[in-house]
Amino acid sequence: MDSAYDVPDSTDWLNTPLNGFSELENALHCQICKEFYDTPMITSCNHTFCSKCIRTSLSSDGKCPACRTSDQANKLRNNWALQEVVTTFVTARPAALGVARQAQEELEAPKRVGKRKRAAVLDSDDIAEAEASRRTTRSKSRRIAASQESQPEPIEIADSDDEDEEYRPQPPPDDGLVECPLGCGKRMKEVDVFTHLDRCEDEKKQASRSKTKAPLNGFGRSASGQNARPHDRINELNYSMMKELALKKKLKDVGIPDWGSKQLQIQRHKEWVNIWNANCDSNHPRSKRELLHDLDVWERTQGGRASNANGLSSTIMKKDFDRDAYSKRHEDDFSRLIADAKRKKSNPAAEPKPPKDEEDTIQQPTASETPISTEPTTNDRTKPYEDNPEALSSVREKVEALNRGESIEPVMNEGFKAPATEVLPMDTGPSDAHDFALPHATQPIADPPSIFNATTNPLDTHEDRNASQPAGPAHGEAGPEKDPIPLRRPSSRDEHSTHEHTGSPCDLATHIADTSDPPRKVPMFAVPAQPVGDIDGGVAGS
Amino acid sequence: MNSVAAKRLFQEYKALSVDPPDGITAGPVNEDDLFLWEALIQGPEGTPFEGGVFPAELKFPRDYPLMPPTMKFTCDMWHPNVYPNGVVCISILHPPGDDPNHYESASERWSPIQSVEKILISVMSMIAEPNDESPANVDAARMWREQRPQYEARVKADVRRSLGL
Repeated sequence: MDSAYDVPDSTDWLNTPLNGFSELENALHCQICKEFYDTPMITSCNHTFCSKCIRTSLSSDGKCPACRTSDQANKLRNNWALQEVVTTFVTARPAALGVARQAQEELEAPKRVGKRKRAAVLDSDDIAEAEASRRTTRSKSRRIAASQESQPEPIEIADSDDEDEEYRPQPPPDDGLVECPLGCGKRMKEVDVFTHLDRCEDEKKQASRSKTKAPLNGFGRSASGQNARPHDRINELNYSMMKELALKKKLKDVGIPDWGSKQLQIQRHKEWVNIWNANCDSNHPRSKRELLHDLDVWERTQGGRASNANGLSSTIMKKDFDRDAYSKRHEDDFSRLIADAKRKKSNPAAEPKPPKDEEDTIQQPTASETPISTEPTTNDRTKPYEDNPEALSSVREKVEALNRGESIEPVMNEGFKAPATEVLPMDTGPSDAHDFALPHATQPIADPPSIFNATTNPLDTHEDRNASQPAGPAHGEAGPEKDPIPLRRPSSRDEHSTHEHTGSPCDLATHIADTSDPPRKVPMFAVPAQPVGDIDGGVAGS
Repeated sequence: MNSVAAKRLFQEYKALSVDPPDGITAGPVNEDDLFLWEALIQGPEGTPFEGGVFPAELKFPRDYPLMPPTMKFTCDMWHPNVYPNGVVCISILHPPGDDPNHYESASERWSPIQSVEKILISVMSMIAEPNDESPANVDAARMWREQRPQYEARVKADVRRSLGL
């Protein structure tokens, strides 16, 4: 793996006598990218991150990642000292690490204790050597740094009071003129002093104004010793106020691709702003071509050209996204979601549940469709038991039993173990055919439906199949378990839990027994519309 | 083509493989795809989970580390904060921004400075000390609250089963 990437890492030091350097190196890493600081910037809350990292982070949620104080990208300031430390350390690192590793080898070669001491002595020599080499490289990089470091000087000269001291030692040239008493350095005839004073003040004010402005706009730029290109920072736009055409034009103006939906254009522009501004911060600004390359990498990994694995958003953001086909393909899901939402509305206390990740539906459309299409009651989900008097009566029986106050909990808890493992593999078998990303090591905890298979009636088997088949996609994708949108289809795993709670009549008792915990997540196909309507509030809605 | 996310994941992988925290192993399932990891967490000592080894999978978004990964146990996990489908519900895995639960303080949530190591350590301590304020598995939470011996027995049974005993 090292050869493939060869990432210098703090753990490189761990097995050497210089293992303390591991911590040092960690301290020189940006906490966001976990690499050496690249153009470190200080936030208003005095945390330091790479320019690009903190800018990206701020543009996504506007808070410092370390302390969550609100901050703005335009308040970031360069941490030049740290920059120098990092540059220096990186330069010195290979030599130091080489020495440290060599020392370690010598330490390991002689196994006897006596030798070890000698090795240890050697070792300290090596450290000294390492120090020395570091010192030379340091002075080297000092020179390099010095060339880049002309930056603070113009500012210092501008508004420091030391100026007078700097000038005084020089003997005034004997030319019969006097120096400006305000210290602007001009020499003039004595009579002109007063008129000069007025102007001098103005000039000074102007100068200081432009100086204070300079750090804001071009702090990083002036630092670049080699080519001080007039890079001005650009700002994010007020995207929500912009029409798509106007935004397109903006993208064109800055010279970045303008295809894709508005959403994608916004993301691209933000990314560009971050890349661009981070480049302005840097003391080694890169050419626009390189920056465009960066943007292209972003495009391919996170933007519009990213692979499908990127999830739903990138797919539906594509220019050639076929909306009709998509909505047709997922019609079942959508109608299901709607029904679900209606049901939830009538049952507001329902608990947030893990949504079925939409990604699944895209990646394995067949997988999510199959179970639905094989489900015989697809078109008549709300009253699945209508033509099943046997089932209905069984349900009624159970409900009545529960109403009498019989507890069912022990039954559930004992029963789940044995059948769960035996029945499930068979049940999930069909879904294997769809080639899910994951092996089926992922058995859910105690699949209660399978118990009911054994204990109740044909209705349950049918229910169970229905529930366990969509389980397939859920294996591959772990959806965000909390989602602000309550309408999303629950993960099919969750439907298992649904059965645990309400799907099976057995379980209704839990809710009756404990009214403080109202029923949630009722799969519509499993809910007998009439018979248990008085128990399960959810039924009313569906 | 190396995105920021891939680079960072590789960094974390390297650090974790060289210097893993106690009781935790983690790494990409396949080194070609750094966005899908597998982790093994040992049951913390002194809890009913002791002795067990719990496999989980971590799925990273493309904009990692801006957004957190999702974590899902691929074994039976009877725990108040683990959904019946194995998905772990813990504040460090919740993205910054809107709090769907309205109870977590922002400081506990995901931030780019967190890492896989910190997630796994948090999950380990969550295993030891469930947070029943926001149970993901209501039944497990109730059992944990009201019938602790039963809860422990069930967990131990799961552990034994996972070890093939």
